[in-house]
Amino acid sequence: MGETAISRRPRRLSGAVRGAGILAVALTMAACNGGGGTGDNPSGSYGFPQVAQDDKAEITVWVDADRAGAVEAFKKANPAVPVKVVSYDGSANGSNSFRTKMQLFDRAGSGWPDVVFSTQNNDAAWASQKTGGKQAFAAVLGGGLVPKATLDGFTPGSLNPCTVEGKVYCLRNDLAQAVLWYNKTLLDRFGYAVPATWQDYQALGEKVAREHPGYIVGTVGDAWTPEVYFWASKCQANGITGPKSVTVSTGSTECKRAATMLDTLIKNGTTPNISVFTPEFVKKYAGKVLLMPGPAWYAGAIFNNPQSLNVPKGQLGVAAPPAWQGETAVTGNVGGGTWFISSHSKNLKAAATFAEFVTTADDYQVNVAPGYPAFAAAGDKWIKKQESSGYYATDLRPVVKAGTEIWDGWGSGIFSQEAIWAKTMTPAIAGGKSLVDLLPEWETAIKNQAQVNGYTVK
Amino acid sequence: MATRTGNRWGSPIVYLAALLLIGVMLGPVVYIIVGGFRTNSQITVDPAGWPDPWQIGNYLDVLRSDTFWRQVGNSTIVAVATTAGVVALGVMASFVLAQYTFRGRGAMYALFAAGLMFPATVAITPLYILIKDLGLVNTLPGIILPQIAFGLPTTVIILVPFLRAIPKDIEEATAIDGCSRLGFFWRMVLPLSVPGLITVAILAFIGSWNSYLLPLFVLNNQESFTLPLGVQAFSSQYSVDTAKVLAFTSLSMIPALVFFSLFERRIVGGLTGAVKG
Repeated sequence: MGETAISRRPRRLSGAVRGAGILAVALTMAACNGGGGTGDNPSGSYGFPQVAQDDKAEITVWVDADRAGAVEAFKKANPAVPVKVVSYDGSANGSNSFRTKMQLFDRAGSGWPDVVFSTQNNDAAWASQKTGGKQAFAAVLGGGLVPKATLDGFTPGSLNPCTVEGKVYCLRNDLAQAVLWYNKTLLDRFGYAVPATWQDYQALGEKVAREHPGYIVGTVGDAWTPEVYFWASKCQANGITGPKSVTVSTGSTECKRAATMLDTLIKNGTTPNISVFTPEFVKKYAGKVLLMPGPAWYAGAIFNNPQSLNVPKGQLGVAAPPAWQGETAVTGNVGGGTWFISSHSKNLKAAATFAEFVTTADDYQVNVAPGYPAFAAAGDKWIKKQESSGYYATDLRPVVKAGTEIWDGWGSGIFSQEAIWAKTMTPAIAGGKSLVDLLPEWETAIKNQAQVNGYTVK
Repeated sequence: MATRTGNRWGSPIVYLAALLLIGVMLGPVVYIIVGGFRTNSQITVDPAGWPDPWQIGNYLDVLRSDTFWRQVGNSTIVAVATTAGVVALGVMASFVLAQYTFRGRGAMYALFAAGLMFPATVAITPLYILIKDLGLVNTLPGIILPQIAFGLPTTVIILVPFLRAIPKDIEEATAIDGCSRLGFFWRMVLPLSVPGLITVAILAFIGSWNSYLLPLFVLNNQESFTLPLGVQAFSSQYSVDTAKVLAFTSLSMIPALVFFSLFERRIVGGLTGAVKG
């Protein structure tokens, strides 16, 4: 056989590689220059520019799997409104798909859905802002698009994550306020009272460690530990003061008291560093959870769930979030989805009707929705429905009350507090470090993350 | 040169290493398939356990779902069309680059080589705009055409050396017999390069079947979703239906596995060259 291709190639290889490199760079630069403009119409009547409206136009709604029921309920109640449903991951688990896709549509100048459900409650931070000179994705709702009476009907404070510079950009689907869950049967058997303050809570934890080792009063193993304990202590770790400004100060008394309490309870074993969603937690602590500060959705997710703790009927009680002695009780929030209306919608009227229905109507929020509704009237009815199941050992009024007690000094920025905690604090706690000692490290991590996301940090 | 020790079974260490390797490769696949026969409760309590009792419901639910079969159909159309496009265009381009000397050949080869260095992630925004301008958003051709483009560099890089190995003598002999260049391509090159074509076809098919990023951005219509996009239907706000995800993933693997197992023997042949001399 004569000269092979492989033996001839080296002479041309360097030229080929050089050419390939130049091409790659050129294509990459081209990738950075794409995009087209949107034809903004400044004549919008709701406080933002809008395109020509068509009351008959089909609306496209993006929902996660759980919200398919919301669309069905809407179609049943409003058969005349044409709706096209697209299921997506709800931007859950840090996928950020909502934001990424809207940015893509911004570059393309079309393709936006009319209504989007997001499992996150910090999307208003970016959706309310122009990107690359393009109109903000989220429609302003308080300028007449959604009636004031509807907005006023939401639980006080529940629209805070949707509010940027005084304007409401989304409707809250459900609230995830932290409350104090407890096992009434166990508490009665041990002769303990439900703690009303965090000081009482710590004292009870110390008592449990002495008298009933193995039982627990909480956990710090999940990424939302700061929302449950530090938010409720008014710790200024996430003081979002504007679209691009945040104040972080974890050296405050409020942060230190929560950290000191948790250090004590971690050390005595009553607040393990294990996620409630791990097999290890279920194995070790099924039947041994005495108290558990946590979001409202813990009821269905871990307590009344055969795949998790599976607490029997008549044992689970709920109390208001504890207060710090001498202060009014406040609480934190762990999640709660949001509904956005696109400012680019051709049928804003239908989009608003849809968003209002899925957040306020009994047909969905009371009869179908799995979580505690953010709309107050629906929330009351939802609670009554839950109580009528006979599962709970107490009434659920503390859940309603906690919904109004979410501290407003903890904002909803673009960056994830949970990701920061999981990355910097959870491994350090597992390594035996004290939370009090870790506070400066936490502050630095938050500030760094905020700066990376373009925030001015104080 | 090493001599045989007389042990016809070879070294046990080799067997141990091979078994370990097989275990590492097959472990996740077996876990996914077996996991589909468990309930979420079983998975939570004992993630590495055996199904007890075995649950066929997850698989039946997926198999009974119209959505699953629609997504299988879409994935099949996309994978087959992508494979056909990649192989057809790839072999033609490779034949020219391998067999003929002409001005700009190096630059053309460099163009394909550049494709290997160009991640689809970087191209997604301009690509989306291009697809939109062509009116192909939410359509399967909107996936197929870019996948063919992104599949061509690998195909050309594999096929060019493969086709260069076809001796010039054969072309000269066919030319003497009155065969044109196209005739040589159809009558000689294609039959001789079947192992190479199968190799690139398998790579293109599997790549298309598993493609997630491009469909995620281009397809925003439920009706046109491919299988990788289907998994997201099982995750929700505070929980994920893990058992159903495992069953769905297991069933999604089957067509690609069948395709692969039908042709995998040819891959070796494809990578060792067409004509040994």
